[in-house]
Amino acid sequence: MGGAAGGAALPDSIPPEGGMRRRRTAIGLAAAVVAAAAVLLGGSLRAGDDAGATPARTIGAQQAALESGFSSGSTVSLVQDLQLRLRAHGDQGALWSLLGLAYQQRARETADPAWYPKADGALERALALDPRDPVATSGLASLALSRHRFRDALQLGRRARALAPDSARNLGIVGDALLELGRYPDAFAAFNRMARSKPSLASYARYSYERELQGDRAGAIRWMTFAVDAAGAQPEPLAWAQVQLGKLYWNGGQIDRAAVEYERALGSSPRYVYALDGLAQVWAARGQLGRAILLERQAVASIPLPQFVGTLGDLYRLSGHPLLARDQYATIAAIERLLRANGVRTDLEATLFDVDHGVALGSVAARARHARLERPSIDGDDVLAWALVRTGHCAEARIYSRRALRLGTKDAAKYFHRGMIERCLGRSGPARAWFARALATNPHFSLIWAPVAREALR
Amino acid sequence: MRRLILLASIAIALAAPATALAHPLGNFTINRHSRIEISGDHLYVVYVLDLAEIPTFQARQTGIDAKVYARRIAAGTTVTVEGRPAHLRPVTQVLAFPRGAAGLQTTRLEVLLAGPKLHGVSEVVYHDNNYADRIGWSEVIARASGGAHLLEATVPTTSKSAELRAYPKDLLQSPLRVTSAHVRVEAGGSAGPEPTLSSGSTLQAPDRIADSGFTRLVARDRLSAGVIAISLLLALFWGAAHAFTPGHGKSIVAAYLVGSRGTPRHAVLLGLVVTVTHTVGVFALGIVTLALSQFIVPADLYPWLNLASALLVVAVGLGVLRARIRSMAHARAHARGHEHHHHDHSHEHVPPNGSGLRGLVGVGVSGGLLPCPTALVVLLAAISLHRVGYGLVLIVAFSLGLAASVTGIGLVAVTAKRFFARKSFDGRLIRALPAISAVVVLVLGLAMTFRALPGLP
Amino acid sequence: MKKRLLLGLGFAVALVAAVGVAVVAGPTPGAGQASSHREAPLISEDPTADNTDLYAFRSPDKPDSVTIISNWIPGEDPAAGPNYWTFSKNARYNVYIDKNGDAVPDTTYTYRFTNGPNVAFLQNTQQSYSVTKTEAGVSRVVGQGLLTPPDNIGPKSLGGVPYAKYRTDQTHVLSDGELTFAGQRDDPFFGDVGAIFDLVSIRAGTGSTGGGKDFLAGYAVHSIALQIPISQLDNGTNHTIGVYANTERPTPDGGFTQVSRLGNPLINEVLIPTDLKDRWNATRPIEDSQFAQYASTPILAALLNKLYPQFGPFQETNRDDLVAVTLTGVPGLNYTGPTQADLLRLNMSIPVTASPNRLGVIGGDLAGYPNGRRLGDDVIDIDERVIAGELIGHKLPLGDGVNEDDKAFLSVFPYTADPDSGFANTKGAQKPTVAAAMAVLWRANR
Repeated sequence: MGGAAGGAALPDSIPPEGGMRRRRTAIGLAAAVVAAAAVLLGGSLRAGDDAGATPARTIGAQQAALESGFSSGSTVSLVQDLQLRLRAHGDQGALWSLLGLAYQQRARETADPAWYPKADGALERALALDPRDPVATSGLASLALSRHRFRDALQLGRRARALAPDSARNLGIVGDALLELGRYPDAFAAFNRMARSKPSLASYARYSYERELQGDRAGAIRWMTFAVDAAGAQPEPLAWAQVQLGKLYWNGGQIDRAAVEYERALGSSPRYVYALDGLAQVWAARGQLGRAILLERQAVASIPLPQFVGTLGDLYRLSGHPLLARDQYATIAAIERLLRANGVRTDLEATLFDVDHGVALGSVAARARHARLERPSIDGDDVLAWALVRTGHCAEARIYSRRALRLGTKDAAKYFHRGMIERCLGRSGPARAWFARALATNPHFSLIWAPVAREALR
Repeated sequence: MRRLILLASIAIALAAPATALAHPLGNFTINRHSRIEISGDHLYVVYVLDLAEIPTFQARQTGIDAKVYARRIAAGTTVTVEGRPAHLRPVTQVLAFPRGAAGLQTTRLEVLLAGPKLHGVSEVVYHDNNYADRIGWSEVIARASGGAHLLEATVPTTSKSAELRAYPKDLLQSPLRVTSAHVRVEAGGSAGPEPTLSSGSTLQAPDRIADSGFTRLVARDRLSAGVIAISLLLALFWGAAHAFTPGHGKSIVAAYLVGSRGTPRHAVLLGLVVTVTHTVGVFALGIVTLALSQFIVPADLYPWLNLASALLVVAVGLGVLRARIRSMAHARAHARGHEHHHHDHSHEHVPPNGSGLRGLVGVGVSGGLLPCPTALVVLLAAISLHRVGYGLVLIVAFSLGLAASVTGIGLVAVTAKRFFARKSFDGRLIRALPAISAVVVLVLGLAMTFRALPGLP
Repeated sequence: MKKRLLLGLGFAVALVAAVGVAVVAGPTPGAGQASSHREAPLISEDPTADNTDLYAFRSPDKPDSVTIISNWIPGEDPAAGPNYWTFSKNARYNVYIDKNGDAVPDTTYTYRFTNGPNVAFLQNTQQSYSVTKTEAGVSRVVGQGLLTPPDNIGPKSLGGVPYAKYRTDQTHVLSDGELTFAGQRDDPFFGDVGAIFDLVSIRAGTGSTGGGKDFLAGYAVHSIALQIPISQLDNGTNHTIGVYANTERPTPDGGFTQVSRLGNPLINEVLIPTDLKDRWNATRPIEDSQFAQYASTPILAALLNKLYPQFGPFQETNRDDLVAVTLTGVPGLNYTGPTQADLLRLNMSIPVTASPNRLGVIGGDLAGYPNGRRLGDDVIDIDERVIAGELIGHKLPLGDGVNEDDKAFLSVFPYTADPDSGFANTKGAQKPTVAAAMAVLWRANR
């Protein structure tokens, strides 16, 4: 819902009127936040239409109401039906497990976290009925993944694997958890096995990620294309795979190819926020900041995930609206406050945002260390390296940068961070080489840092 | 290792939150509720808007003007009566900002929308198009009063969410997405009372943040007293094991006890001091961390604690060394004065005098001052999850285990020294031992200091 | 000491991590959101590779030929945009025929699809395909550049051409004389799937009277239909063929892996335990003896005893009759030897029945299931009765109350009905939505 959508529109972050804004202008300079890059929090997906179970009172209305929400194969109807069935027939473990999985899919489709506790509850109910229910165990494992409880996910995934050794899904869960814990050889082994035993969207996407991590971009694109094909006509999975494919093109600097995939994702699942976000970045790269802002605002208006809000802030900043940018950054600070209030003080993506934007640099290295402890992946290494160099600990930063690049991942941001480290250590030759490499990989890797890299090469 | 994980998971399970201060539907949601109210011969809609923390924060960046919102909400709804479009006009509105998580606010806006006058039996179709793309709960109900009758309706007469105050926690209830209603009503003969909006504590919706629905799930009682006892035992055990990790000054303790000619009583006393200091240290650091949590992370405090601890050890080492040197000088003077007398060692075996006791406490404090991060994290988690009591008990158990180990080490040191003393190597070595011990303590303290320095921010 | 030190450190790490985790477990705002970008969808199965049904029968209008129809993609809603179903471009779709009872395919037809130049996305769903025939290790391309009809999205996307014309235009002849059709069809399967799914409501007694809900009415599938002269299949001594279909997807090591297969109807749904379904789908029929126990000791029979003691007892063990129906063929009807394999067995020497009985063999009509399978065979009723013990003297008039498909089958190849037009969208009025959801769920849960 863009602010300009007419009568139905309600105020989102930007008011149509300018009065308040002018007063703010008087407050003066916005924080000179040096930074960019979307925060990669969240990944729950949002699909287009969402008409839910509509309890109706009268007989005539019931049928109509039910049908309003129905489309074949949709999770909505699946959920509806399982609920009806459980109400009618009482506790049945298999139905509870399925309902738990369906709730999780709804969380993906709507990006609405309210589904997670419900999924949890349904799966626990299934487990209470049968502690050895492999589907419920596997569902809890993937729920743990969604919540970034990677060690739990690993444990649960392994238990699920023990209960159902032939289920390919559990291999994927175990692999995902291992990956986030930085145990790459084990994770890749799991993915390979999964892709051999049950090639599907799920395994193609994971194998593609493995190729990407190992620096094989062509392979990553090839297998993600297979994932798109395997998604068939299922809106959310299809849009998801198309966005992933778009990101692979984007990471290689092929922004036009990326744009095509994002557009397709919007065709598959209208108003798909991740596609909107991707397209916003494409238009920013093409120099059309106004267009980028419109798209990113749509994404934020749909769901203010921190990464969208952060990108919007960067876009405002670049387009000369520091005060609007400040509002966005303040929103992120509020989100982080919520995270902290709930005891999460070490979220990797939030930390990356802070490092990028120079927020609370005093403690950022310590937070990056904590975050890395929880997620000792190459991303954890990279964020720590980046935090260290931003706080002047360049020699130590280099150690972590080496670790972050150990798989040969072609990641422009990681190259750039290394360049900054080398520069800080006074090694201008290698620094230039890393900057050049970052820009050659993806000239648009960051709204604000890419220009810094270009400047350094001048 | 497996037991470690077991303990950890028990601690976690117990540390589960009793209450969770977050918007029950997630911090990003915008929730709305429409109550179509046919009162007498008039159509009203009572519209409730509930913004969770983040949308509230965003909205307040530009200010929330209840009247402007009310107008927009009215514009975002459509009503047809007998197929003809009708107008909904905001009459009154009330606005409140109930407390949400993390000191942030949420928003509750109620708007009374007045519609047209109805005659006889009419078909009314209502659509709420506000925030159509936003995630959140949306609900429509319909009621009749003041002589009007609801003949048929596609929506219920009661709210499943108490008008966005208490979201159902039923596992079989999906978040509602009802945005339209089709009702057939028979209007009353005369005007009915105008619906009223909430006020006071009802408007503040105190129960909206009381329970997240998740609470019930994580707080499910699957832990018996037995399990708690076992977890305490494990905490004790691991506290003991933990004493063998670096940083708890066991070498210092041993050296000190040897050097100060301590007795088993001293060893026990030392253990007690370590327990108390460690527990207090954890609590203090926990409180400081909580107080400073907006500005600092615990990791930033550690270097300073390291330094404080190290300096304390240096001081103790210096003190003991000085005392030894002085007493050795004194002993030599004695020896010279009573060359042919049997040397009386008894005064060497009395408990350390005042300064010795101070030294003992000092060593104990330095051993316990630096709380292990693990204990701290347990406490912080317990606090943030509102299981403070259990966290405290767990940490006391952990500290007791730690102290038991330290005491054990002390006892071994004391016994070993006595064994050697009984062998009566009554030579220079034994007499030099206290001084050497003091030097060892000093050197260790200096080493700790140097190690702590580069860690400072 | 070092070990202890490590132990202590491990403890610290475990606690820190675990507590961090515990904290995240709360209803955290971002953390609740924080599902990984990389996390692939969860309950998305693989519909384009999902075999739904297999049919094999002597062609009623051409009794000297056998028609094999294999369907994929459960629950296609012709009206559901914006995405429309097509065959997968990367998968291989195979139809296997064993002519001598050793469960090793003697003839394999492999279909591969590509999208036309304009099929990138949106509504162009017409694909072109090739057919490769493999016999005795030798592969020949027997059809190339063949076209499917587009999906029946609506008159606009069909360019005003009646769908029936697409069907006839896109029926092709392969180089060995077989007929082929590939593309969207109405799902010929019918049944009260819900009744099977929760097993609570098997409608005892209603089987012969109707009254059940056809959960699949109005839905479409993607179909591959082949009509093969019997002369190519009957080796003279053995008149019974065993047929199965599967889907293979490419794997990173350069090969292809079977991800779905189908011989007899309902085996995967009714007999194979949930946690073995992936393995079942990856296994070739020749290795099926490992699953024989699930046929000889069916879970369903035990369940029936629990739920319907008044109709029992149902024999729970030593069900050689079920093993025969599913894995070896029924002696005297379509037995192919001791090799156990889930194949749809058709004795081609049994003549076409003029007026078929929906209950097939147990209804006294030897030309129907389990001797091959015709489009009108009521396999749900048949399976319910067979599992209850029809073949071992325990006869019950079980059934789901749905006795025929909602649409009339064609009298000519490819026999299945044209799919509903998405534009006309008639199905909404025909059946309750919940039922349709159930059908999708049931299929997705295979």
